[in-house]
Amino acid sequence: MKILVAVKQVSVLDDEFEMRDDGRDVDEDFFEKDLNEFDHFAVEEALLIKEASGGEAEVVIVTVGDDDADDALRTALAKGAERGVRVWDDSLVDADSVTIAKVLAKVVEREDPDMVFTGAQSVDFGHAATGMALAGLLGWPHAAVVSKLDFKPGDENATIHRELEGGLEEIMSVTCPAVLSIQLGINQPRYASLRGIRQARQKPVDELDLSDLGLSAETVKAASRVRRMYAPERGQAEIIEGSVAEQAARLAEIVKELRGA
Amino acid sequence: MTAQPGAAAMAVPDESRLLIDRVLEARDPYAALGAYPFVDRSVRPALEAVILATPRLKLIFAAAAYTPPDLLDRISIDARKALQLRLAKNPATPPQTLTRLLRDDACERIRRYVAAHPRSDRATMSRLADDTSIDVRRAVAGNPNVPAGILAGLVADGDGQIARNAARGPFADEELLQALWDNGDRQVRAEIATHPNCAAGLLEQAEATADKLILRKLASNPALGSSALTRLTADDDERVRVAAARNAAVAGGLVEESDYEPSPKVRRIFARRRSLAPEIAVRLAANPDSWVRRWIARNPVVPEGTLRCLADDAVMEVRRSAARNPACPASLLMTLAGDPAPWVRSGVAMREDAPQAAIERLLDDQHPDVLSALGRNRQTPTATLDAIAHHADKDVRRAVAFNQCAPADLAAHLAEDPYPLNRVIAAGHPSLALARVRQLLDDPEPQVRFTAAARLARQWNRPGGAPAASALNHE
Repeated sequence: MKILVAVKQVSVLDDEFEMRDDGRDVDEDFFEKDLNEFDHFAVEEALLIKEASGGEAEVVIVTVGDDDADDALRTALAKGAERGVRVWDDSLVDADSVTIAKVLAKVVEREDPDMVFTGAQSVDFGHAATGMALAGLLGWPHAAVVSKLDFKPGDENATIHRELEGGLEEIMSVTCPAVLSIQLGINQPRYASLRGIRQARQKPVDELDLSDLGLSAETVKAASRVRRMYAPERGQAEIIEGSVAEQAARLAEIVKELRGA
Repeated sequence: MTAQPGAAAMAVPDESRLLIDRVLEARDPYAALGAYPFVDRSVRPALEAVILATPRLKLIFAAAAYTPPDLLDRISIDARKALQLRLAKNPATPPQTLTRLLRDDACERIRRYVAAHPRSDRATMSRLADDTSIDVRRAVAGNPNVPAGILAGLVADGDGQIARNAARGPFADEELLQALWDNGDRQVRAEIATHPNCAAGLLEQAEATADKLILRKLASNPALGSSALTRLTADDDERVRVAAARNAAVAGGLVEESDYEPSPKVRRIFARRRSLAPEIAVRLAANPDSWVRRWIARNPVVPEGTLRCLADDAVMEVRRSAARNPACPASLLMTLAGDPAPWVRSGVAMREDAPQAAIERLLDDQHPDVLSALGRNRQTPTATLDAIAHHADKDVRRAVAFNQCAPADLAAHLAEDPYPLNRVIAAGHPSLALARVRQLLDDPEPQVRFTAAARLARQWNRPGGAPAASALNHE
């Protein structure tokens, strides 16, 4: 039994930032890199299944990213996953969600897992598309925003709960293997112990390039492209204190000021 | 500048030099930053080269309030706009650095942040008071340290926002406040009415107004006389009475009228006052508003008999307040230690003056609130602290890290805690052996390494503070 968890090293933005010269992204200097918050929950869910089965399951972490992404991979390994896979090629620099899913699909073919978990979305771009695209490419069932999971090694079906709009919850059954996009709050992610962090440095990580997966720069060419990224102009804000009458008076004053009266 | 291990071959204590060499060798910016304020000035350039090694690190430390002022000054040499903006916003940026940020090409945002910065000096504020941007001048007027002379020049603009900011200025003097009153709108006058430098004549004019905004602000003026305050406590507007009740100058006699006060908000404020007469406290203890009873139960002036009644209140928060009351007798604490609500029991568990018997009664309690309180309590026996330090909940374990009486082995255990914040606190624990602190220089969490390096550097660079034996070489 093997669970493959796809994780991403995300970029968290500082409050003051500058754009890149090409105007298509923020300058890297203004990013704090970290493991995607949603992925902590996906990793934890896989580890809980492994532990409940008495270690019968193997948890493998996969990421698509350059050398920097090793930190995110090791963070997940430190929690208790067995090994990692990192795929990178410079032609993936502008990869979109579907392209990443194409790469992950090849890793899935190679690893042959019984289940694939992803975070429900990434906190930097928030497309929430990679898991869905991966399932589509594999022809596997997919469930998004999974808030509860009932599954153990050997089960032919997994019972899942999904959060829907309006506070509704949906319970559904999916045939395994499947791709599940895990929602925040499904569990309480653990902190890696110092021992786990030290051990993670020694855990095996397969470093693959596109050719290892039978792909090429042509086959992973992104179908979408960021044309421009910018911060829209913001208006001013003022908190008006006092009673309703005082607030109304101040509001009238502001309107007069804006109209130049 | 290149950092070289061994570059710290200066007249510094041996242990300190070992620490610096180690930090430089690891090229760890966070440990270097922790050590920086405590090391000899001659070794700082080598540390700076590590701390500011990349543009990213410069950006991080330019914005951090924990960055030492000398280092912020060093960063300000770099003209990158994003750095300059961060320095202008950083509350730790020293006055001379703020002045340096006002280059000829400094944008309006930088000028505005410097103008509003509490550490900007008089010369800088004076210069910015003549700025072409109204927003910059408004920011100067809002600076809490702007002198009256500069404010007087600014209000000549006739701008409403500047006038409002100036009227709030702690250094606005009587003359300026009078000029602002004469020319200001009701918002400006309201600010003047609450100003401690407001002249008696203006206070009288403010009291004579029917404007409730001005009266409310006037009621909170700490310089207001008792007769005016008495009149305002009887005002028909609840918000005016609330402001008067909050005024520290309110006389005891006024408080005695508090149980006739129709507003629960005013009663709650009076219930907190330590000057409350015991008989008023007794009356307020029977108030149907549980917030009034909560505050009375916490008030040490409440007579013991009344406190015992409050300790039996149906509302858990009132009982918790009784447990937190500094005058709560030992026998009542014993009773409250058996309260059905964990939140009440934790109120007893956190008290270091609780009778030993009350603490013993709580030792088998398994509720996280109670365990967290016991974990911080210096009276708690070591065996109980040991169990709490091994609790499954990271927040419960952290309580022991805060306990300054926790023994060395528990501090060492918490220095290995999976939760990084617990390791940060353990790194500063007085019982943690220096050899263990030194091991934390290898911790994966930057904040832990920062804390460990700061502690070691402080230890080894204080006059006569170097330990007799080499902690660095003792594992």
